[in-house]
Amino acid sequence: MTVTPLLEAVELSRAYGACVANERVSLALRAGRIHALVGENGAGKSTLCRMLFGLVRPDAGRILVDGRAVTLRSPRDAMAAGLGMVHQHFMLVDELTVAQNVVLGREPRRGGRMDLARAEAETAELAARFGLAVDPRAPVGGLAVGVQQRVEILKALHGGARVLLLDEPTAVLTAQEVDALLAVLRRLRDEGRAILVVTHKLPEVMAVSDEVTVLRQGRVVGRLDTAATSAVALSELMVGRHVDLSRRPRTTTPAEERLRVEDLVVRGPDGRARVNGVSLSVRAGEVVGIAGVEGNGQAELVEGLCGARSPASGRVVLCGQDVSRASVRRRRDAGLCHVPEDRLAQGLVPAMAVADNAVLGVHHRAPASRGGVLRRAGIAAAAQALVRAYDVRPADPALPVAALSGGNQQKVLVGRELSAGPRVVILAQPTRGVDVGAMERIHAAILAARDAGLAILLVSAELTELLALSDVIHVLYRGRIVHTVDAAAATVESLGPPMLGAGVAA
Amino acid sequence: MLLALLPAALAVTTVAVLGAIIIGALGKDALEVGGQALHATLLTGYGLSQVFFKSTPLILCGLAVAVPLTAGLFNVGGEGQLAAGGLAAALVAGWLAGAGAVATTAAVMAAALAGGAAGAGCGVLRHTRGVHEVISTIMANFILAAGCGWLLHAFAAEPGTSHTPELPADVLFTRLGSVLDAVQGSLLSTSLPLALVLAALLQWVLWRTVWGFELRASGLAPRAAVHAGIRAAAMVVGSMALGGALAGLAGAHFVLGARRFFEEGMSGGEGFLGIAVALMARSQPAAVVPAALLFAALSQAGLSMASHVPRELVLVLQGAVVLVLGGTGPLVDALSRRRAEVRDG
Ligand SMILES: Nc1ncnc2c1ncn2[C@@H]1O[C@H](COP(=O)(O)OP(=O)(O)OP(=O)(O)O)[C@@H](O)[C@H]1O
Ligand SMILES: [Mg+2]
Repeated sequence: MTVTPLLEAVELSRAYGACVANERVSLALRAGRIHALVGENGAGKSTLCRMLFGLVRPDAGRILVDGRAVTLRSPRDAMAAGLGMVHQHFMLVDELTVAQNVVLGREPRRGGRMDLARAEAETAELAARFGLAVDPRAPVGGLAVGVQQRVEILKALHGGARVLLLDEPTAVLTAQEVDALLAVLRRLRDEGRAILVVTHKLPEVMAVSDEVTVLRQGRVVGRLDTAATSAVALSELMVGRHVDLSRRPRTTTPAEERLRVEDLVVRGPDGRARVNGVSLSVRAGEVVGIAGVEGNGQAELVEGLCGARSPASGRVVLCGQDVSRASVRRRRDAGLCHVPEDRLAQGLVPAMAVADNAVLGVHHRAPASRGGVLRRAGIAAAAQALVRAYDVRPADPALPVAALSGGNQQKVLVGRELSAGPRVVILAQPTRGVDVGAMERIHAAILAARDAGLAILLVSAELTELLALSDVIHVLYRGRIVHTVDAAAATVESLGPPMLGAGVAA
Repeated sequence: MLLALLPAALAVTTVAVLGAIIIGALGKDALEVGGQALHATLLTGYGLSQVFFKSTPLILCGLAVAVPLTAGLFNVGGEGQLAAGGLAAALVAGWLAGAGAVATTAAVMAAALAGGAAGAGCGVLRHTRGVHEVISTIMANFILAAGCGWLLHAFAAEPGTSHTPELPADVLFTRLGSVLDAVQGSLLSTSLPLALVLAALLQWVLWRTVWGFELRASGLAPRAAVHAGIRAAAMVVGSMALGGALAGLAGAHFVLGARRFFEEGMSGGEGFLGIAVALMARSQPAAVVPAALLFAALSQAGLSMASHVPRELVLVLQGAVVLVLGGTGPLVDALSRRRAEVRDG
């Protein structure tokens, strides 16, 4: 191609200590093209994006904007050069409103002060133009993750960026939201922008990109035209083996009821009922799935069940014992474990070592401690076992969790909860942001736990995941279960309408 | 590890350079004055024992800040908690005069309880009402200073004085000189080993016990801590109570180990200096000891220079140390980040 790329990476390298995150990575983003970047967890995708956006300095190599070498010292430089980035983990200020977040760093001013009305108008206009529904005045902290993701995208678009770098923008979105986002990306492409999108979801790559770069252990192992490849070929290129995510129905019959939820009502921070009379039951050896568009009460349901938020009314019965009022600790000790949806805020302590995180939640009992005193040997052994069983990379329990790639953080979290010896486990978005290889491993672990007689409640925004793992699927809409199906008989298409409230009296 | 020593090294350098400049500007020979002060402070038995004596309340007040800081709470109420502890110690020791070690023990416990209650109160406000602990502990400083002053004058003061009656020797902390010839005649008492043992104990508690683990986790990631079954209330109230108790013990040190009575404005700002000590120690209880010794040495060196330079020099230098610490904290963070960059994915 003869057109000069809008943004080009030339042999970029970056190491973290002994870990080579990027090694001579080259990549060109051209106007009017969507470039997908794929690779395993820890392959170096985020590192590459962060170098291109001035967040991380390359050790070697050059970055060219419009064919001219530039030095990006900070995101400010990158924005000035016409780049915009959507981060894998949100970079939003919870206390500010949507509009304030969107314009942050380039606020419209009037008389030296921020012109809030104009910020809100600009945000609304941008949101309408790209079909990203948000309320410009809502404080960001109270929004569902899916909505926060839209805010991130609006923020990147607000500066009028010519080059957009999106690091796993779809990880937290539902199928419908993903479709909407892909439409937005196509529109931006047709306007002549250059787009880099990182994703673990290969169907998305196939659906939206023009070309693909595959990273493996920091190196480019493939550069393909999307039209000339397939999802299967890409996944094999990424992980170096064949990946099987097909449905594996249970072979045992479910045994006794382990978790019963009766008429549960959970209120959000604003006092509104977010879970409004949910009843369900999970038996030993079965996976019950909860489908629904993000923000329909899933987060509050999980918090109400695990004890982080006390229910307004209704009952939670765990193995015959009423735990509706019990603390998180008591529920955990009674065998109720959970993987919260927001791993970095709710699931892990990023600044602490992998080893400490591996026992968080079970740190008060053997083998992590005895008589209130920590046992380092017990913690080290538990961490080693987890790192090995879930193939956490790098396999160094002394590393802070913050230094792991997103997918590896998730492996630590899921592995910890499944190895805590639970009788019931609640999994919220267990494979969010993990690569296909790791997803296969986590799915296998969930199914093994099921076959070992665990009762599992699976809350996921991924319909394919729900369909592959669940025995029964409940659809949650506005805090109520509006639809229940046998997973074997359900399809992505059949779940869509009830998720959007079709057939529900308003 | 070496990075952790950087703030201390910078603080010492600042003191040396700035001190030399000021002394020089006053028309004195900086090398000579400084050398003499250094000698008098660190190389004479008297100077050294004074440094350790002065470090005792600083260690306790430093710990009083370091423990809550581990849980993410900033206890700036050391001054008030110290006063409450001091008054409690004086009253209990006075009532039990003649009971010897029993009275001392009871007075120490009363001091810890009084300071602890003051700290816990702010913790409760934080947890139940969301009142920021910096605000509540500052306000508590005023309330406790005024309250203790009123109690003192209304009920407890020796007539004609502004302090409680002098306590008999049997209820005071034992002078170390009575058992250790090397420090004979010094002011050092059992409060010094008490403070040292507490620092060591707390280092162990924070890093080796379940409670310390929970404290660190909730300081670093409060929501993750809740999801892991750690009770936020226990962390907030517990760490503030423990912090307050430690400052209360500093009050007991003044009453039972230095003054022999309680009086208003008894501390020379140790409650506040404890903040600087804890920051310098980066909240590590073990590191609080050397940090407190540095501040104590500075103050003692100032005293020994009193005939050459104005007293305020020490205040200036202390202030400079705090500024340097404020500046190096982020610097150290930035440097360690260079290695393990705070990531977004
Ligand atoms: N600040 C850091 N300190 C130490 N190692 C780091 C740091 N940042 C990244 N790494 C390492 O660099 C490698 C690449 O990480 P990166 O986040 O780029 O992966 P990724 O491809 O984005 O993975 P994921 O799909 O899981 O998000 C990983 O092995 C990671 O552990
Ligand atoms: Mg990443």
